[in-house]
Amino acid sequence: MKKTGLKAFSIFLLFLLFVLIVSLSGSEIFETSLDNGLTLLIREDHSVPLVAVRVCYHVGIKNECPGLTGITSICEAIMWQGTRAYKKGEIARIIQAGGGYTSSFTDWDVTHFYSRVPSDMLDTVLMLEADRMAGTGLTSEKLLLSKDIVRKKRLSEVESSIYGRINEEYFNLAYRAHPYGHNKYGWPDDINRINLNDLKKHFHAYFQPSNAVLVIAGDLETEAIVKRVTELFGNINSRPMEERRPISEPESIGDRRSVIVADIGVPAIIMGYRIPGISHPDYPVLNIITNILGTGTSSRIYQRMVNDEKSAMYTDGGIIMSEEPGLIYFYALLNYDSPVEDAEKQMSGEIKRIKDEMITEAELEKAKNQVVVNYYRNSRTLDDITRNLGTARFITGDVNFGKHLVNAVHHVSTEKIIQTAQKYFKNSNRIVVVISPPEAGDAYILEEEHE
Amino acid sequence: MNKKRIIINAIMICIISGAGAYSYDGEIVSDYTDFSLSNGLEVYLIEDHRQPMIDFIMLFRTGSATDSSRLSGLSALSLTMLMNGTENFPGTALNNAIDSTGGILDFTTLRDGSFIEGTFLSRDFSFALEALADMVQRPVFTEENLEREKRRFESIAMQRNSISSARLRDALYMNNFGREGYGLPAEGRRAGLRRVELDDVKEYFTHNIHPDNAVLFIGGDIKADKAKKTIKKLFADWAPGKDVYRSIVDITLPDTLEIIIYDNPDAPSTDFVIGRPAVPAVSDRAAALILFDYILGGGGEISRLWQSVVVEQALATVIQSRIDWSRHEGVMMISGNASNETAADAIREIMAVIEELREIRVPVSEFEDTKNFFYGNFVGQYETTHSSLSMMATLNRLGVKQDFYPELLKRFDQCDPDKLRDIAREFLNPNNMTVVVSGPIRKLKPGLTGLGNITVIGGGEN
Repeated sequence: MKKTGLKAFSIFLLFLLFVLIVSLSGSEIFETSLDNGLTLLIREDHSVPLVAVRVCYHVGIKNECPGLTGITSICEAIMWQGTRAYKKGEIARIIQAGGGYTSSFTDWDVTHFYSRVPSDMLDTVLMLEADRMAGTGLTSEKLLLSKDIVRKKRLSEVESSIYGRINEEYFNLAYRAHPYGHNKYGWPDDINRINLNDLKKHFHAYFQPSNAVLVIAGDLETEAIVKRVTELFGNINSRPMEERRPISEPESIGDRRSVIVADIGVPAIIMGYRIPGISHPDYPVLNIITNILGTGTSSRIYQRMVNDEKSAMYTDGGIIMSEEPGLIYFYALLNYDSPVEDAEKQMSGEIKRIKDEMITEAELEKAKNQVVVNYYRNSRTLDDITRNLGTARFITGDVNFGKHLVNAVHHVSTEKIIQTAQKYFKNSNRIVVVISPPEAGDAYILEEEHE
Repeated sequence: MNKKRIIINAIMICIISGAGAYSYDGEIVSDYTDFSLSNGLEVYLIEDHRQPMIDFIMLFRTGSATDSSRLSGLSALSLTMLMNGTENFPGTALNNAIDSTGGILDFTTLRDGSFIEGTFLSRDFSFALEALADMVQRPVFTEENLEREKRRFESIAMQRNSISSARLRDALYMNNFGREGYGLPAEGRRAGLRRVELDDVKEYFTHNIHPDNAVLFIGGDIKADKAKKTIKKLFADWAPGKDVYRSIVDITLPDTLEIIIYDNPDAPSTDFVIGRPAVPAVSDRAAALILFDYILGGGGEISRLWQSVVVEQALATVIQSRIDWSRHEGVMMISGNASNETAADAIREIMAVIEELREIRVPVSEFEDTKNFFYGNFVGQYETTHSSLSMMATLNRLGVKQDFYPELLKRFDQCDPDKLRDIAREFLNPNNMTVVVSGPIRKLKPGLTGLGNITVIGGGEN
C-alpha cells in the first residue's frame, strides 16, 4: 500500500468499525440462580472438546480491614488443604491425571478457583468444586499451613522481587483509606496474628453459595449441566450476608510521590491518577485516553519518549479494573543514561497536552479500534471467557460488560476526552513513583566482568 | 493446497476415583492447509470463523544461536529494525498505520528462530499482510534508527540482568554452551550490541530474512482461497537470499557438579537454577524425557520435587522443572526460590530426589497419571487459532513435523518406568550438572561446601 492511500484507508476503517460495533455479538450466556443463592453462568461452545469451570467468590483485598490483611489469601490456601472426601493435594492430582489443569488466585474484588479439562471430565470437576464449597473444614493445623503458604508466596513474589516491591509501594501510596492499598498477601505481622476465629468469621461470611458464581464454558449441554449443578450444589447451605459499606478514597491536597533506589538495571517512572470504579460512566472515556497516551508504539507517550526524545526504551499504560476506586497509570522504562527528571517532564507534558488540546479524529478512531481488538484478544480461550464472565458479574453486575464497553467507546467524542482528562489529571489526584538504580554494585557490571 | 489434519487417538485408563475413563477416538484438533511458493516460502493456513480476527506468525528459522560473542544481540536487533520504516511506510508511518487498525505486531527472537507475530481484525487482513510483506521485503535501515535501537537494546540487556531468574538462566547456558551462539542471551550483551554497525544489520538481513528461510503461519476469519491469492500476490516476488547463518552449538559438559554463586548480600531470599543439556526435540528419547520431567517437577504441586522440597521438608517456597526444547540440545532445568537459611538444604534435597529417581521405578499409577495428563492436555494446545499457530510455529522452529504430538502420544505407549529410570540415569547425573544460585554467600556457602566445585561471582569473596 502506498502512503497516499492512508487517508482513504482511515475513512474506510471508520465505516467498518461502525458495522462491526453494531454487529458485535457472541454466543448466548445462560444465567440462573439456585435456591441457596449460587449464581450459575453457562456458555456452550462445541468447537473444542474442552470445558472450563470457575468458581468465583465475591471477596478480595477490598474486604480486608486493617489487622486482617492477607486473610482472603489464607482462605484461598485453606481451600486446597483437603476435605473429608478428598485429602490435601487430591484435587490437583485428579484434574491433572485427567489431562487438565487447575489453580486459584485472589484479586482486588474476587477470589477465583478455576480448571480447564477435557469435556468428559466436567462432572468430576463439578463434584470436586461442590465438595470444596461444602466440605472445607477449618482447623488450627490447616490455618498454620495456609499462613505458611501465604508467607512463602509473599517472600518469593513480593519481598524477593523488586517489581513486586515497587508494585506494593505504588498501591500503598495510591490508597490511603481504601483496602486496595495493601498487597493480597497482606502485611507480615497481620498474617502472623490472624487466628482461627478471624479465619472462621471471614471464611463463613464470604466463601458460601450466596456469595459465589459458578461459570462453566465449553463443550457441554446446558440443560443437563443445570440439573447436575443443582444436584451437587443445591443443598449447600448459605448464611446471611452482612452488607458491606463501600469505602471511598479521599481527595489529597498534593500529589503522592515516592523515590525508590532499586536495582532494576535502568531508571523508571510510574505516573498514575485515581479514577472511579469500573461501572462509572467515565470508564469508557478513560479507556480511550489510556490507549491514546499509552497503548502501542504510536501512542503519544511512546512517540515522545522513545522516538523523539529517545529517553525511554519502553512505555505502556493501563487501567486497574476494580469495583471500587481504580487507577489509570502510565510507566516508562528509561534508557540507562536518561535522567529521570527529564523523563518525568516528558510524560507529564503529554498528559497535560491531552487536557489542553483536542485530539484528532484519527487518534480517536485508532483508540476505539484498539478497544475492539483488545476485547476479542481477551475472550479467546474458555479460561478467558469464564474469567471475564465471573469478574464482570460481580464487579459490574453485567455479564456482557465487555461488549457493552466496546459499544460505549464508540460514542466517545473528542470533547468528552478533554473534559474527562481535565477532571482526573490533576496533581492532587496523582501518584508518582520514581525508580533509580543504585550508583554502584549493579548486577550488570558483575555479569560483564564474568563474561 | 494440501488439506491436513492433526488427529488424536488415545484412550486414557484412569485410576482416579470417580472419574471414569476417557477416550479420544479420531478427535480432530487442527485442520489446516499448507503450500509453498516457488521462492521457497512455506505457508500454513487455518480457516476459523469463531471470531472476526486473524493471527499470523512469520517464522525465520535462524535466531540468536547464530550470534557471535563479538556481535551478541545482532539477530534480535536486526529483526527489530524491520519495524523502523519501509519504502512504502517511511519512519513511524508503519507503526501508525498498524496501530490505527487496532492491530498488534510483536517481534521475538529465540535461539532457534525469530518471529513476527500479528493480531488484527479480519477486515484488515489485506492491510496486515501488505504491512508484513513490506517490512520483510522493503525495509529501510538508517543510522539514526540503529543508534536508537542499540541504546534501547543496551538498556533492555541491563534491565534483564537485574532480574535474578534471567541472570541465573544465562549463567547456566553460558556454563554449558560457552560464550557464543547458544550460550548467549537472545537480547545480547552490551559490549556486543555496541559493536553492531549498519552493514552488519544489512548483511544479517540478506542472509536470514528471506523466503527460503521463512514460514508463514496464518489463520482466522478468512477464506483459504482468498488468503492464498493475497499471499501469492504479496510474497511471490520476494527474492531468495544468501545462505543462512549457522547456529553455534558448542556443548561443554562439566565433569563435576559446578556451583556458581552470585553473591547478593541483601537478597531477602535465594533463587536457584539447576540443569544440563538434554536432547533435541527430534530425538527418540524426547517422549521419555517429557514424561520424566513431569514427574520430577513439571507437574507442578503434585510433582516429586514440590512434594519433597516444598511440602514435606519445607525448604523452598517454589520449585519446578522444565525442558527448554530446542532444535539442537535443549536444556533440562530445575528452578526455584528458598529462604536464605534453607536454600543450601533445598539444593541438597533436590539432589537427593534426583538420586532416588536414578535408582527406583516410579509406581505404575504415577506413570499412568502422567501419560493421561498429556493425552488430555494435548487437545488444549490447539484450543484457539492463535494457540494452534503458536504450536505449529514452535514445532517448525524445533525442526519436527506437524504430527509431532500425535506421534509423541504413540511413543508414550512404548515407554515404561524402566525407560524413565534410564533417562534419569543419563540426564540427571549430578556429576555433570550446573547449579547457579543468587543470594548471600555467607549463608549459602557453608551449606553448599563439599557438594561440588564452587565459583563465587561478585560480593567480597570474588
